[in-house]
Amino acid sequence: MNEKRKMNEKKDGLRRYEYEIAVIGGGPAGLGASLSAWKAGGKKIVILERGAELGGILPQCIHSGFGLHYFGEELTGPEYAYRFISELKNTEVEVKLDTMVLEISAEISGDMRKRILCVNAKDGIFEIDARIIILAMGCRERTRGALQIPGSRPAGVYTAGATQRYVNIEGYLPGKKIFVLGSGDIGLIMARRLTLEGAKVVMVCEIMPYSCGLNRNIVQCVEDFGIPLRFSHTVTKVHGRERVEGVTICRVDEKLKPIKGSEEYIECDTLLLSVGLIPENELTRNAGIMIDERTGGPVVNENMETSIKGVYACGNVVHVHDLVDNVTKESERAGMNAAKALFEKVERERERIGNVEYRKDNKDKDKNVEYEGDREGKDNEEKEDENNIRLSAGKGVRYTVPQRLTNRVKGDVEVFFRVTEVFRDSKIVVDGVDGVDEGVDEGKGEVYVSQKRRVMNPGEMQSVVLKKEVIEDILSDGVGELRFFIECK
Amino acid sequence: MRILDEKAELELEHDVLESKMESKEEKKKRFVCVVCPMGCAIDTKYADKDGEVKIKEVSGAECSRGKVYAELEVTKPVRTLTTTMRVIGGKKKLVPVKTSKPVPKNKIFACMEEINRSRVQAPVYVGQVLIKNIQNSGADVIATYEVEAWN
Amino acid sequence: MFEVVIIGAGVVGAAIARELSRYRISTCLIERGSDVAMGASKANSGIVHAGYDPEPGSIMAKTNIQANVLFEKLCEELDVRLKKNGSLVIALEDKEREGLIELYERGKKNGSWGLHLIDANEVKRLEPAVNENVIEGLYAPNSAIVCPYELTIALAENAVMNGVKIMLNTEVKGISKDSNGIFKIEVLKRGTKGVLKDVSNVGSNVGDGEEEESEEAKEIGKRLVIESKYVINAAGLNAGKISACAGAEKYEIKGRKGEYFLLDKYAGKIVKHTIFGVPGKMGKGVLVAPTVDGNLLVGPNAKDVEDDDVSTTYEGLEEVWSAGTKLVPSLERKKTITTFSGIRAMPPERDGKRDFIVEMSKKLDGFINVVGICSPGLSASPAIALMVVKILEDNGCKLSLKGSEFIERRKSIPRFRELSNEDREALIRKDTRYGRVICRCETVTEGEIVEALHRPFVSGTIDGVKRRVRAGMGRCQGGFCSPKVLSIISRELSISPLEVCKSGLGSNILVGETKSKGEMSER
Repeated sequence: MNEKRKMNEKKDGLRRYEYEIAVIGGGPAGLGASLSAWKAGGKKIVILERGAELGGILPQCIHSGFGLHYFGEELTGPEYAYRFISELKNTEVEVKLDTMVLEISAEISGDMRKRILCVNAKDGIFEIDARIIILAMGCRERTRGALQIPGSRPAGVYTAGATQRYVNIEGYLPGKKIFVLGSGDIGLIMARRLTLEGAKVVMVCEIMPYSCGLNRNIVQCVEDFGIPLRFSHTVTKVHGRERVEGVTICRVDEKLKPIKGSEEYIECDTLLLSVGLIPENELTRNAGIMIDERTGGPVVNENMETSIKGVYACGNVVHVHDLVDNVTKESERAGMNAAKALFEKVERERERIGNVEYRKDNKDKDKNVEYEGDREGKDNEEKEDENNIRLSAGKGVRYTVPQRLTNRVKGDVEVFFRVTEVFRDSKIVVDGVDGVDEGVDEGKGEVYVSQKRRVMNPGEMQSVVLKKEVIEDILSDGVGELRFFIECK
Repeated sequence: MRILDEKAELELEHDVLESKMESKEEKKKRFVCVVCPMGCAIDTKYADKDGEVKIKEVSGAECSRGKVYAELEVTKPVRTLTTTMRVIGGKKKLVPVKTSKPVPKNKIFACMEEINRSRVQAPVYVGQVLIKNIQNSGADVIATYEVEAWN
Repeated sequence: MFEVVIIGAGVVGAAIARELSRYRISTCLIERGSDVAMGASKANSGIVHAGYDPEPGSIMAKTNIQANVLFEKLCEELDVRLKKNGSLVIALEDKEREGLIELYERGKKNGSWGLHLIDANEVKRLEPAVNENVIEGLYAPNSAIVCPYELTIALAENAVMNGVKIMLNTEVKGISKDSNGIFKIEVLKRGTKGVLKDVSNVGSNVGDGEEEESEEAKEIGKRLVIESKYVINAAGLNAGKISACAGAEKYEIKGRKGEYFLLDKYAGKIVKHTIFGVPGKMGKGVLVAPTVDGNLLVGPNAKDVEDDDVSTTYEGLEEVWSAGTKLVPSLERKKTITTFSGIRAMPPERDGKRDFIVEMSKKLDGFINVVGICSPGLSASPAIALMVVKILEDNGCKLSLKGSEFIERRKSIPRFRELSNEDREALIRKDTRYGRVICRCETVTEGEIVEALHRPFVSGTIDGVKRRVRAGMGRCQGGFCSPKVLSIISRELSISPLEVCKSGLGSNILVGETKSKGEMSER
């Protein structure tokens, strides 16, 4: 943090607005959380949205496929957003648009108040003072730079989301001959969209040996238009001085490394990247909230609460979802729990999920959970609540959300996870051990869940429900760590 | 889920080739069902006589929905069209639209052309019918978002 | 007619322009690209070297040392960020010790003060992230870091503030001398179809208002002839060609490419000093350096190239990464934000050595060659400018100082992200556009972007804005803000969004409107 602008600096003239709940982000997650917080009796709620309108990314997702689970109808992105935005109008939830959050300071004081530094053209620089923060900042797209694709840096290299904005909101075509890298849904959807608007999509290329998008999109976005779909290939060079003129693609081996000699030049004027989404957690990290490096998002418990009491998180900022319906469900849980927390009397000691000391001792054991906060000298002093249960990702599992269960967990808990590769006719197994990483092999602990799954693939988020009775067993058995792993035949 | 990989790709290509070589009377087509995540590979055999398509055989579907889907894909493939339409006098230049129900696949580009030639005057409301019975498909084009007018 | 025309607006050309703008002497700065710093000046390590590397007695050594002392004042006048972070050259093997000591001796000879040879423990104390096998180190407190294109832009802006004319998108096509000894510089000024805003429109036209076309659309422009008493050739990679076409010396300027990784600000804290390895045949080698913005640079390698293609290569990047991790093993490749490369203009070898060429041509009087400015070119630029002024003086050029008329100080575009909350509030009160954040990753406001498009000279491109305010330089690499920056450029310069370019002419971001008639693809 810059010397000049520490948050606890004496602020003369820095306007402060008091709320109970501040929701950062007005996309589907923020909308769902604020609505459910309101319905649960929460008052003085404000949404801080950086864009000129609510809805997040949904207004530009003009295709259908949203709401099948939540509404039982198939809606387009804008229609889905509209439902929540209209409902919001009937509440007293305040909205600040065109407002950027610069910093979150989660002061751990007696009254649990937190400060959010914001800026907008109308109010200038100001602070939001709230007891609860709900993080709903969504995610950003992986870039060509992050992939380190060699070659020149001409105009014509765009991420799918940026292209979607140009086409659907601004009404411009960013290119006429498009090469799509990545068979994820966003890339496939844009392949169709661009074709419909008169561009030619010359190829969709995917580095994995299988497609990452939904069946439906492969059929309706690629096959329908006769667009070639190439697997186990990637772009190894971008050509063109001022504007893209073509790309070189290469076959890759099992380690996903390009195979020399398999180069092929494809002429195009645009390289469209659909190569992954990354939760946007700069504010989270800078506030000193514990991040799970496997998801790129904050570590949360069953209530969607982060490592700092009173700060919740939901939606793509926690982990990248496939279905907005799940974002809504998750955010409703967060909002409801946030409102409940407001009414809870703070009698006992605050519960923490993690602290620096614990991590230092178990640095080797828990390599995947890192503390990347930038909190100059602000060390967490409180000990980890020994009664928190850790959920860890074992063989075949990339991550789980939530990553923690509190010792007051009640009722069914749905744990979401993603697998590391395609599994057919396998089982998702959950077993428990007393302490963290005791060295007990997977499957040799107390097995609480063992469910058969026909097919699981990395592109589709999975979930397993720990039923009420199972939860009760886990608690009474004094489990310290629950391992989630895949058992193949 | 359908794992569309090289093996499947080759098989597909092979099937397409095969069906081209076979008599015009009986054709084969493989579909990957999109109704649920299982992604069953459904094989269909059909006859195409002067544009009239008749299903002879459908196999591989694990449920009846898949069978229906495959039959539809062969006889009357339809798609929902989503796109944008230009707005006049609105706070935004474009309004997102969709067809009220799926339209025949072979009419998609004609629909696009008609929508592209059209303009709508703001304000626009969600669900507002912008084009009735587009290209005689029986489907309307409706707005999926609202656009306020400049006062 | 001008008294001086400078060809090439890299950091050297811009420094010369600024220096000359102190005097009552009409100067024109011509640049082929769409902005200043389009060559090596925007793609280097940004280091103000301490001066232990160049050969003692060389121009490189003299100008490096002289300029090092001038840098602080210069940056203060121009409101350019300079960070004196110091550097460490580390020896990882016994045989490298010799090289280290040689640098130390050279540094002393050159007059670089404050140099210290330090032991392994001291190196590790200063930089815990350095390879634990380090044997010995050379510490130079006078090594600093600067943003090289920020400096170039500042120099050029200050020059223009003081009367220098700048012509962007202007390529020299031929140079001749008339019977009166006046240089006639034929240029093709591109972008006359209103794409890029330009401050000046000088020289006599060849056929008034005639637009000349050639095969490539890029060649559309106005042919102009600019007259001048002196020509300063600071054309980087093209300096050899320029010199030859004017009839001056035929220099062989070879290009040497260097590739870089730019790492996230979260990686930026891993080292404080600039970390070098012991230099090899091809130069200083790969280094690991923080930037003034808090990012981390890893690079450059050194590969001789035949043309000016600045594409990065798979092999080159692997080479850089492997060398970089030898110095700092804990570098994380997944923290890469982007990669890029630049091409050094290598001077020809004379007596087995390479040195800057800063001299009045012996073949063509009035033609000053500033050629082969590779490393430590950035570091030496202020001193090279002084050398050029002296060459002009020695040649009889009348140079009278403007005195107090010279506007010494130039204010940069405000940096919202670096200001205190009070200062931010004050900015927003003056112009509410400073309250609208456009680039989320780097916290850049609309006010700053608008200001960037209304400076003493303007490069109305996405990259021009990016280099001035950092919009698009963050993690998302413009994914979020580019569409917004594009519409601001379109609005402020009154050009169609379709005309907005990324960088040079022909790099239009958008190709057409959706729903265009007759553009449906045939099925």
